[in-house]
Amino acid sequence: MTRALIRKELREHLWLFLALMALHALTLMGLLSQARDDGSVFTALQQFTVSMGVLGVLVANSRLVVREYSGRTQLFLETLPVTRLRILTVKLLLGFATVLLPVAIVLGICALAGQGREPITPRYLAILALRSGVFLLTFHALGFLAGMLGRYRYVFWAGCFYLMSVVMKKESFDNIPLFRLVDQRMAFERNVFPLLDLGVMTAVAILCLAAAFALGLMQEGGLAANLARKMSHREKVFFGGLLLIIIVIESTVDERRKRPRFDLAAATRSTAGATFVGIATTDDEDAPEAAMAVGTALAEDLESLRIWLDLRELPPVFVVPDSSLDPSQFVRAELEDTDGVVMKAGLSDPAFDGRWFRTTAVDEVLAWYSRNRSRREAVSWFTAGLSGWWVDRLEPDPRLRLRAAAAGPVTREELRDWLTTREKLGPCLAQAVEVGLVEVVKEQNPDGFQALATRLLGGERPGQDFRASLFRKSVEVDLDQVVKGFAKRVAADRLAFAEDLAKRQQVTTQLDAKVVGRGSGIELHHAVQSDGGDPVDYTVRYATLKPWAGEKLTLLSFSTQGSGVLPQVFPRGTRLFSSFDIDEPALGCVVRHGAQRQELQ
Amino acid sequence: MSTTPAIRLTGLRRRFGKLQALDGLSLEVRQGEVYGFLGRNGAGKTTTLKLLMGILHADSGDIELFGERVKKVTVPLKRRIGYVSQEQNFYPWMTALQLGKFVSGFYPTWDEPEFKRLLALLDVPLERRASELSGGTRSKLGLALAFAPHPSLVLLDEPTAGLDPVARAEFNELLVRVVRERGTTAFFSSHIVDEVQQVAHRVGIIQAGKMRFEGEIALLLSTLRRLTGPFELPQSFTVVRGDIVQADAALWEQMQWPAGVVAATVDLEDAFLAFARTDAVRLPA
Repeated sequence: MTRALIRKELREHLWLFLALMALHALTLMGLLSQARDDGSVFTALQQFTVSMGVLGVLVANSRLVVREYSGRTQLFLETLPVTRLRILTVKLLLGFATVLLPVAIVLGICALAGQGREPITPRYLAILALRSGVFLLTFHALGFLAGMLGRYRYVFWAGCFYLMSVVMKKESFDNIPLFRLVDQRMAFERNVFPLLDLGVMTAVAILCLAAAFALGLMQEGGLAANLARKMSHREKVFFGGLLLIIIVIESTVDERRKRPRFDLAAATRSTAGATFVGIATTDDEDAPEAAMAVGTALAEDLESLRIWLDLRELPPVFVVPDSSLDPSQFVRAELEDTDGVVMKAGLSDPAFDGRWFRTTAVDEVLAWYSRNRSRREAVSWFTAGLSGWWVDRLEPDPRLRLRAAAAGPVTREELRDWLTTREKLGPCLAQAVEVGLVEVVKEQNPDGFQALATRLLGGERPGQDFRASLFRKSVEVDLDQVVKGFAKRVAADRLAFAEDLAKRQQVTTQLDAKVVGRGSGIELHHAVQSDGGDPVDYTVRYATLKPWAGEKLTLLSFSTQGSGVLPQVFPRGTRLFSSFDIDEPALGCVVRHGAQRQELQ
Repeated sequence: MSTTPAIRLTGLRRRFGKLQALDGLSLEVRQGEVYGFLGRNGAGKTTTLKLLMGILHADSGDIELFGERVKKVTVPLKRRIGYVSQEQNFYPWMTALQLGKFVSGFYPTWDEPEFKRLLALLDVPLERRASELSGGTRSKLGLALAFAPHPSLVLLDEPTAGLDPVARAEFNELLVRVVRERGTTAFFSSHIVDEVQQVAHRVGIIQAGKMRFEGEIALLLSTLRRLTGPFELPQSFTVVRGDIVQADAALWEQMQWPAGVVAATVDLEDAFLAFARTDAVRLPA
C-alpha cells in the first residue's frame, strides 16, 4: 500500500521534483563559489537551507497535500483499502524526504569541499545536520498544516508573516528561535548544540503536525475536504476587507504609538526660547566653546524657524561630536525606539563648517516634521534651499552667489528631477543653486513667500498613516518664472564675479574602463589634468548601483593626485556612479566634476 | 451458496449536525444477490454505503459483514469489497491502465488479466487519461476497478447517475453479466426505479434514514393495488399514499369489491413513489 502511494506521488510530481533538483544544483554552485569569501564553505549549507529548503517545503506541500485535496482525489483514495492515517503519513514523510534529501546532499558536498581547509569533526557535522534538519522539520510542519487548511492556507501564511513582523518590531530576526537555528553563526558554531532552540522548535513542529493530522482525520476527513473547497465570493470579500482593516488599524496605531523623545543626560544644552540643542559631552568635560557656539546658533535657527513656519513642535536635537568623521560629512543617527534628530559631526575639526552643518541640521528637522515629505523630488530643491536660505538669511555668505554663478542656470526639467541634478552638481554647488532659487521665489513673491513655505512645510504636522500620504502638498510657484529669474540672476552674478570665476582652475577628468583577467573584471583608471599642466589633487567618489538603488548613495572615496587606478575590480555589467571631487579655493569648497552613472562593459 | 448474509445492518444511526441521516436503519443483503437500494436524494443511501466502506462511522447500531460483526471496517475487510462511487474522483492524469496499476497495489488478489478483460468488455480505452473519458466510460472504468480484485461484495453508489439511458442500460447489462459470472454480491443504490427493477433480485426502500420496505420486488408488488371508485376500506387494508393501498397478497385475491371499484396492479415506480413520500409503513408478511 505504502509503496503504491509513494509510486503514485513520484509519478505525479517527478518532473517538478527534477526541475527543483536542477534549480538546487545551480543554486548550490553559486553558493559554493560565494562561500569561499564567507569564511566557511558551510555558509553555503546555511544559505541553501534557508532559500532552497524553504522553497522545497512550499512546493512539496502544495503538490502533495493541496493538490490532492483541492482536486478531491482523496475521496478516491478513501475508497481503497488504506487508512487516512497512512495516506497522511506517507505524504508527510515523502514531502520531508524531498526537502531533507537535497540538504543532506549539500551537507555532504560541503564536508568534502571543506576537507583540509577547515576543521570538520563529527560533532560539527551533527550540529549542522540537527540545526538544518530541525529548521526544515518545523517549516515543513507549518507547510503541512497550511496545506491541510486548504483555501485558508494563504490566510494562515499571511497571519504567520504578520505575527513575525509584530515579533520583529520588538526582537531582531536572530532572536526568533526558528531563524536563530540557521542564522549567520550556523556555519561557525562547531562545539555547542543549541539544545534549547532545537527543543523549542521540535515541540512547535510536533504541535503543528498534531494540528495537521487532527484536521485531516477529524469528521472522517470531512473537515479537510470542506476546507479544500474554493473560497466563495463572500469569503474573498471578507478576507480582503479584513486585510484592509488590519492595514488601516496598523497604520493608525503606529501613528498614535508615540515613541519617547530622545534624551541624552550627558549633554550641554543651548537654548533659544522654547528650543534647545544638546551637544553630547563626556562625563567630566563640557562641550568645547566652538561646539557650543554652533549649538546656540542652531537653537536660534530652529526657534525662529518654528515661529516663522508655525511649526507646532520640534524634535529634541542633539549633536554628538565624532572626530573620525570627515568635517564635511554629517550623519544623522537612526533611532529605533525613541524620537528625535541626533546628528554626528566632526565639531572639533578645524575644517568644520558650522554654517553648512546648521543648514543640514535644519533640513533634517524639516524632514522630521514633514515625515520625510520635504525630501520628495518635486519639492526638494525648494525645501533644501529654504534650509540653506534660513541659515544664510541674516548674514548672507557672498560665496553662495559665486558658487551658483559657477554652477550656471538650470532648466525646468532639472528642477523636476532635482535629485539627479543635485547628484551631478555635488553638494557645494547644489546648495548654492538651491538657496539662489529660493531667493528668486522670494523676490518674485515677496508678500506670499512665508505663506507659501508655511503651506508646504509648516502648520499642523502631517499624520503618519497612509491617508496623509494620499494628500500631497505641492509648491505653488510658476517654475518657468523661477527658471527665468534664476538665469537672469546667474547672468548678472557671472559679470559681478567675473574675476573670481576666472581664477577657477580648468580641469579635464578621465575615467577609463580596462578589461582585466580573462575578460570578466574591469579596472577603472582615472586621471585629472589641469589646463596649465599642474598636478591636481582630487578624490574619486564612487558607488556600485544595485537594481533597487535610489538617488541617495553611500559613496566610497579614493584620493590621489594626477592619476591612478581604483582599488577594486568590478564585474562586467556593474552599474556604477562616479565623480571627481576637487577642492577649489576660488569657490571655497570641494566641487564635483564629471559625475556620471554608467554600466561597465 | 452460504446462507450467511453478506450484509446485515441493525438499528444503524448517523447524524450530521442537525440532520439525522440514518435513523435506525436495518437491512439484510443475501450472498450472491443484487440488492437494489432505492431512495430519494438525501434519503441516506450514500451514508449507508460510506458506513459499509468504513469511510464514515455509525453513531450507533450494528454492522455485520460476511457474518462478522464489525466495529470498524478494517483494511483486510475492505479488500473484500469493491466500490463504485457516484462521482469518479480518479486522478485526471492517469490512464485506465495506470489507474489499474495504482489500485492493484492495494489488493493482493488483484487480477490484471481480468482487469484488462473487463476493460475490453466494457469498451474502456486503455491509454486515454481519466480526464478525457466521458461520464459513462468513467463509470465503466470504476466497475472494472471494483471487480478486478475479485471482491466478495460490490457496493455501487448510484453509478449511473448522470448517464444517458443507453449508457445506463449498457452499464446495467454488464453489471448483471459480471455478477452472474462471478457470483458476487452487489449492493446497488439508485433513485432510478427502472434500472433497479432491471438488475435487482430484492429491493430496500429507504426514506429519511429509515427502511420503508425490504423484500422481493414481486412480493412487494403483490401487496399493492391502486384502488379507484367508491369504497369503504376494510380494516386489513392500509392506504400507503393517495390511492395506493397495501394488504396481504391473499387478501387481494379473496376480496370482492363493489361494482365501480377498480383494484389495478402497480409497478415498482408507483410503489417507490408511494413509500418514498409517506411515513405509513406496513411490511408484508
